[in-house]
Amino acid sequence: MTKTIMLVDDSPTILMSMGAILGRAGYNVAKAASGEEALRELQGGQKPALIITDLNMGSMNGIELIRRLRQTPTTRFTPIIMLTTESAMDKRQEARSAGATGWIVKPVQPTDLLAVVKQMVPGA
Amino acid sequence: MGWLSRLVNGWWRQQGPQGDDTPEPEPVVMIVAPPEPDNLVELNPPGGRIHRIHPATMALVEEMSSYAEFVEVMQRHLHNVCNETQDAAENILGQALDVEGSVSDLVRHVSTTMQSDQFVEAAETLQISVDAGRGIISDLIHQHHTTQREIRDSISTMHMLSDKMKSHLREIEDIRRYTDLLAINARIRIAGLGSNTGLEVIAEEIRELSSNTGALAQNLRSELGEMDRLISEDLLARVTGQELADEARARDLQDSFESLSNHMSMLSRMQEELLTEVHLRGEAVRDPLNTLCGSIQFQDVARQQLEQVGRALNMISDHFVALSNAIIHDDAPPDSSIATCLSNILENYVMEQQRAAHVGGASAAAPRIELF
Repeated sequence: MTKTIMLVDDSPTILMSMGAILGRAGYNVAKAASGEEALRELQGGQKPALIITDLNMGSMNGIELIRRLRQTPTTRFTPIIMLTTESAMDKRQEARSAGATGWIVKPVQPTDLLAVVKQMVPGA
Repeated sequence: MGWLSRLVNGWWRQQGPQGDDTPEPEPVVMIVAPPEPDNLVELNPPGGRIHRIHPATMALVEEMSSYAEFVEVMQRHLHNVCNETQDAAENILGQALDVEGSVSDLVRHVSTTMQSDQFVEAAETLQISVDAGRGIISDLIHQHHTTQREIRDSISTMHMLSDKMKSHLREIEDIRRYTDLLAINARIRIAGLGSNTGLEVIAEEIRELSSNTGALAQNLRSELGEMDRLISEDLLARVTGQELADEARARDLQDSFESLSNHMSMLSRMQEELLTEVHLRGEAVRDPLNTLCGSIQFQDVARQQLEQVGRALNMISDHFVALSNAIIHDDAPPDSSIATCLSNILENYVMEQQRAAHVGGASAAAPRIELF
C-alpha cells in the first residue's frame, strides 16, 4: 500500500519540488500551505506516515504545529521532520522538545531527503 | 519636502542675508502660539517650550523622514524579485514536470503497445505462419523427391519394357529369316515339280509375308530406338533439369523463410531491447529532475534572505522616523541605537550563512540533517 507523506510549507516552490521528489519515489503526497491547513487536513481524516513541515510560516510556525499535533491522539506518534532554512541550535532544541523527530536544513539534496524518509517510513 | 521644512526654509529666504557671500544661517527661533508671522514654525511640545532648530538640521530631519519612502520603494522592488523568482521557479518546475509526464506517457505507451495482446498476437501469428511455411516447404521438397524417384523408376521400367520388346523383335527377326528360308525352299521344290502347278503363288505369298514381317520389325526397331532415345535423353534430361530447378527454387524458398524467421527473431530481440531502453531512459529522466527539484529550493532560500533584507530596511526606516520625531516633535529618542538595530538584525537571521555574512566570518559547521 502506498504510504502518504504530508508536506507543510508556505512556499509553493518547496511544495512543488519536494512533492515531485517524494511522488517520484513512490509516495503519495498530501500538501498543506500552512499549519492551519495541515490541521484541517488531518482532522478531515488524512493519515500520513510522515509529516515534513517548515519552521517559519505565517500565523502558525512549525514548532507550534508540532505541539498541536503531539496533543492529537492520531498524530501523537507520527514522525515529524522539520525542513527549514533555520539552522540555529536553540531552535532545533526547541523543536526537539516540542516533539520533532528530526531536523533538515534547506536546501537539501533529494537523495538525502529520500534517505531520511526511507528511514522514517520503512517498507514503503 | 514636508510642511515643517517648507516653513523654515521660506522664513530663511525672507529673513536671511542674500548674495554669494551668504554666511551660515543663524539658528531659528521658534515660538509657541500665537504664531504671528508665517515665517515662524509653531511646534506644540509638552510644556510649550521654545525650540531652536538650525535649517540645515531641519533638512537632515526631512532627509531622514524620506527614508521611509525610499524603503517603501525598495520593499516593492524586493517584493517584485520575490514574486518573479517565485513565478519563474514554478514555471521551471511545472515545465520539468510536464516533460517528465510526457516521457512517462511515452514509456507507458510504448510498453503498452509492445506488450498489448494485439501486438503479441500479431507477432505470434507471424511466427506460426513462418513455421507453417517452413513445414509446407519441407513437405513439398520431400514430395518432390518422391515424385522424382517415381518418375525415375517409371523410366527404368520403360527401359526394361523396351529391352523386352527388343527381345521380341529379335524373335520376330528369327521368324522372318525362317519364313524367308521356307519361301526359298518352297520355290526350289515348286521348280522341281514343273510349271503351272499353282504353287508359285503360295511361295510368292510366303516370301512377301517374310518381307513385310522384316519391314515391320525394322519399323518397330526404329520406333523403339526413337522411344529409347526420348526416354533416355529427352525425358530424363527434362526430369533432371526440372529437378535441379525445383531444388534451386525450394532452396530459395527455404532461405527466404529462414531469413524471415531470423528477422522475426531479430525483431523480437530488438523489441525487447527497445522496451528495456525506453524503461531505462524513462528512469534516467528521474535523476536530473530530482536534481532540478532539489536545486529549485534556492528560490525559497533567496526569498527568505530578501525578506530578511526587507525587515532590516524597515527597522532602519523606523529608526530614522523615530529620530525625526524626537527632533521635530520632541518625542523621546529611539530606544535603540543603530548598533542595537544591527544586533537585532543579527538575532533575527534564520540561516547560518546570513549570520556568517553579517559578522564577515565562516559559517558554523552545524549538521544539516539531524535525527533526534
